[in-house]
Order: sequence, then structure tokens, then C-alpha cells
Amino acid sequence: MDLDAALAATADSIARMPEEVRAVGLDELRTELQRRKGDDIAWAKHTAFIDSLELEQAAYELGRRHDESGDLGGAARWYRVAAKNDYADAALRLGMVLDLLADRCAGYDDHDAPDTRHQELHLVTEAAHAYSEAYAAGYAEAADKVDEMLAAFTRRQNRPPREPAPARTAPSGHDCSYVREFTPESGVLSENEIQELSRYSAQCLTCMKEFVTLVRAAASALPTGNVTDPCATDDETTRSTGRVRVTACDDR
Amino acid sequence: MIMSGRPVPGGPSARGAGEIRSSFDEFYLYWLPRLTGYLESQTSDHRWVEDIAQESMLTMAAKWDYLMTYDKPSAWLFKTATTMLRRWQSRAREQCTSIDDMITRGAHAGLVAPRFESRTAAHLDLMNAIRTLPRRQREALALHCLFGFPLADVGRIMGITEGSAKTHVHRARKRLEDLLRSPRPAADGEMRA
Repeated sequence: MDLDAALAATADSIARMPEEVRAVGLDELRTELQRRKGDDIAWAKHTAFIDSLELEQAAYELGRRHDESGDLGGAARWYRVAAKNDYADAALRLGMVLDLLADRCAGYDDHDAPDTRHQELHLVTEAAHAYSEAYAAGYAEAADKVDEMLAAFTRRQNRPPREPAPARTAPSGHDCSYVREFTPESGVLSENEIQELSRYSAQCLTCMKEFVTLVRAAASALPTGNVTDPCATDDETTRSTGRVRVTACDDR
Repeated sequence: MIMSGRPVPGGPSARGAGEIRSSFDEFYLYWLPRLTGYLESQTSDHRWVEDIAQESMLTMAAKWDYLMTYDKPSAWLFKTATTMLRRWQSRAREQCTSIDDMITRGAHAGLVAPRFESRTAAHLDLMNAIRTLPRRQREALALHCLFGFPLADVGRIMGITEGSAKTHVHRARKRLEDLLRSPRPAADGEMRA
């Protein structure tokens, strides 16, 4: 017997199913419906169940929208909800999104940090679980996906740790003496020269210390106390002195 | 039936009277055996078959005045049953209480009630073979090849595109042919839900 004939025979057999084999009788169904309608709690549960029938589909659609807009975190969140109840190909899509998130996680600058590695491992584990669910549901391509993901994960794990990023323009070693040996053109630092030293110091710790020392030394060399204006007239000097005196009297 | 090119004798497209809206009783009489058969093709757990068939029909009865205005109330019925079955199977897999899983592992002695005793051996073989298929494949195959739903409706019931439904039916038929050719239709170690 070929498959089509077998299917046709089975369909006929189902259509002629005797009443005693049917899952539920019509009278039984009517009685149960009346009972639920008469019981507020049972009826509330029944209507809540009917309302919940489209939750998986709604979650799946939200996952698709987040996925299409590039929000992988949001997509994973909603695909998880849909995949938990085995909706459509949510498990396969969840696996693909988590796979991408793990790949993205591995591309971070602090990839070698334990937290990042742990997060990547967690994502890969969850993705593998989602792919296996999808495979069991009938999506054969999930097997290839999980192989590719594990191969990529192994490659990432085996790659050498990244070298620390070199300083962009200035050396960061202890021997850097750019600021220390800087000689101003006119013997006194001009505003432009101060700005140049400041920029350089921002990239070199040694030079930053030298720069701070230089600024402090310059600040300490400034005169303190009342400064008299050599060009001021005697009256102005008297008034100025008088003001000081008055202030001093007030203080007392 | 699109895939095989032959109509299914019990299917709605073949009979031309698949959608019954005159009364809920008629709808029930026509569709309950098919719904029961569909659920039996998806799971070996007869508690689920009975409970899901009852809940789906109760939902249908409670909303009959509204659902009878649909183009295909039967598609809504099967979608409800499929959603419930997926939820229950998913929970049972998590809790390791799935009879289908136990059957796969060979630890099912006494768990399956003798519900099929009155059926023919060929019917049992085919139903057993369908149950060994992956979940989406057996859903698509049963809906399309046993109950005659067009692929577009199969896609709507399963929440997938028509193209995906066609792929699942194609894979299911290929695998089923292999299974029925082999001496043991329900081969040990087959991936099950």
C-alpha cells in the first residue's frame, strides 16, 4: 500500500470513528458548559484561557519586530516567551538571535574580562538549547546552525589575548620627558605652548605629572598680598590703603 | 490535497461540506472525530486527547455565535487545539512527565490505554509512524494529508507561512515513506517531541 492510500484509509477510519471512542460526548459537553457558566470562577478561568490563546503569537510578532529593527536584546526577550510554549519557529529564531548576541559580545573591547566571557558562554549555551528544541520540532537547519555556532565559539576561545592598545601619539613609559624637557621659545610659556603641553599630557601619565608640577611651580611664583599699581597716583594709593584699613577696622 | 495530487476521502475539500455553520451540534458531529484523530496523531497520551478535545470544543461552543461568522471555524478549532497541545507538551517536556518521551525511551509499559484496539493494524501502524515524526512535520502532515486543509490554512493554524507548511509536509511525507518501508515503523531512537 502506498502512502497516499494509507493516508486515505486512515482519514476514512477517523471520519467513521465510533461514538464510544470519541474524546467527549455532546451531552457531556453541554453539561460542562452549563456548569462553567453557573460558576463565576470557572467561567472567569475559561474566558481568561480563551483570551490567552493568542499570547504566543503576539510575543512572536513582537520578537520579529525587534529583530527587524536590530534590537537583538528585545527580540530575544520576546522569542523566549514564544519559544517557551513551542510557537512556530520561535526556538529557531531565538537560537539565531542569541548566536548573534554571543558573537557581538565577543567583539567587545573587554572581551577577555571574566564577566564578558561568562556572558558569552551563557548566550552560547542558551542558543544551543534553543537550536536543539528547534531541531526536535522539525527544523533540520538548526543542526547546521549549532555546528557553525560552536565552531565560531571555539575559534574565539582559542584566539590569543588582545595586546593592550598603544598610546595614540605619546609614549606612556616612565622615560617620557617631553614636558620636562620642553623649552619655551621666548623663555616664558605662551598660551599656545601651555595648550600643547596640556594636550600631550592628557595622553601620557608621566607628562601629566610633570605638567601638574610645572603649573604648581608657576602658580607659586606669582606674588601674593596687595599689589600696588606703579602707575597709580598718590590719591588712589591712599584711597586704596584707606580702604584696606577700613576693612581691617571692620574685621576687628 | 495539493502535495499528493489525490483528494483525501474524509477531508473537507474532498467532501465540499467542510465548513458547517448551521448549528453547533452539526459542527460538533462532523469535526469532533477529526479533532480526536488529529490529536491522536500528535500524542500517545489519551488524557491529553480527551482534555484538549473537550476544552477546544467548549471554547467553540462558548463563542459559537461569533465564530460561526468566520470563513473557516474549523481552522480556529484546530488552531486552539494545536496551541493547547504545544503548551502542554512543552510543559511536560520541561517536567519530564511526557508520555511521548517515555515511549521514546521505552519506559511506557501500561501507560498507553488500549484505545486503538478496535482499529485496523494499518491504521495503527500509520498513526504510530506519524507520531514518530518531529512535531511540526506531524502537525502539517495530519492537517494537510489526513484532514485536507489547504496549505494556506495549515500555515495559519500552525503560525507559519504557507511555504514553511509545504516544506514540513514534504519532509514529513518523505520520512513517513521511509518509515513505512522499513520493518519497524516506530524505530527506536527517533527524535520525538
